[in-house]
Amino acid sequence: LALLLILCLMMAGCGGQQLTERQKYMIAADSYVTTTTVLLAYLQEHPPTKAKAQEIAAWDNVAHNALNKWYSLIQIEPSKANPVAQVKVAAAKSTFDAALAPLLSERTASGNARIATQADTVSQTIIQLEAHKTAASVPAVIPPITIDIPMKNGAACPTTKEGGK
Amino acid sequence: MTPATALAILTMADGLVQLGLNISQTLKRTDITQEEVDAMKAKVDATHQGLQDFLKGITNG
Repeated sequence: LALLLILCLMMAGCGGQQLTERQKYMIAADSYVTTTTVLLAYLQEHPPTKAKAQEIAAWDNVAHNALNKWYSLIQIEPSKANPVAQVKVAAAKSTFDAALAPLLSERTASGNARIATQADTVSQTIIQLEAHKTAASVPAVIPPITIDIPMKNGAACPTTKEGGK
Repeated sequence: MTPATALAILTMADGLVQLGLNISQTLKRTDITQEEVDAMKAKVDATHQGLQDFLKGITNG
C-alpha cells in the first residue's frame, strides 16, 4: 500500500503533462485516503500486534503531516501574486529569521524543551507568512510573538518581536 | 482463503479501481477549486483520525 502511494505520488510529479499543484495534491490525497481506508479495513479483520500498530501509526503520521504541509503550500493561487505583500512578508521573515537563529542554536546546545516550543512557534509563523506571500492581501498587522530568550543563569528574558509592518 | 480475506481483497480492488478513475478525472482538470481541495483535506483528516483511533485502541488495549 505504501508502494502504491509512492507510485501515485511519482505519477503526480513525473507525468507527461504539467500538473498544477492542486492536481498533485488531489492525487496524493486521494491515494492516501484510498490506501488508508483499505488498510483500516484489512487491519480490522487482521488486528496487528502492538508493535506493528505503533509502526503503522508512525508511518501514517508521517504521511498525514506531509500532506498537511503540501496543503498549506497550495493555499494561495499563484495568479493572485501581490508584489506589495511579498515585500512585506520578506521584511517580516527576515525579522523572524534573525530572532529564530539564536533560539535554534540554544535548542541544540541545551535541549531546552521550552525554547524548542518557542522556536517552533516562530517557525510556524514564518510558514504562515510564506503562505501570505502571494495572497491578494496580507493582514495589516501580523500578531506579535513572544520569544523567551534564556539568560546565562537560566532565567528567561521575554522579548516581543513584531513582523509585517 | 477465509471470507474476511476475500472481502479485504475485494475492498482493496474496489478502492484501486475507484482511485484509478479519480486520478484519471483529476488529470483532465486544471480548474480544481479551493473548495474541492478543502473537501479533500477534510477527507484526509477524517481518514487519518479513523486509523489513528483504531491503532490507539490496540496500543492502549
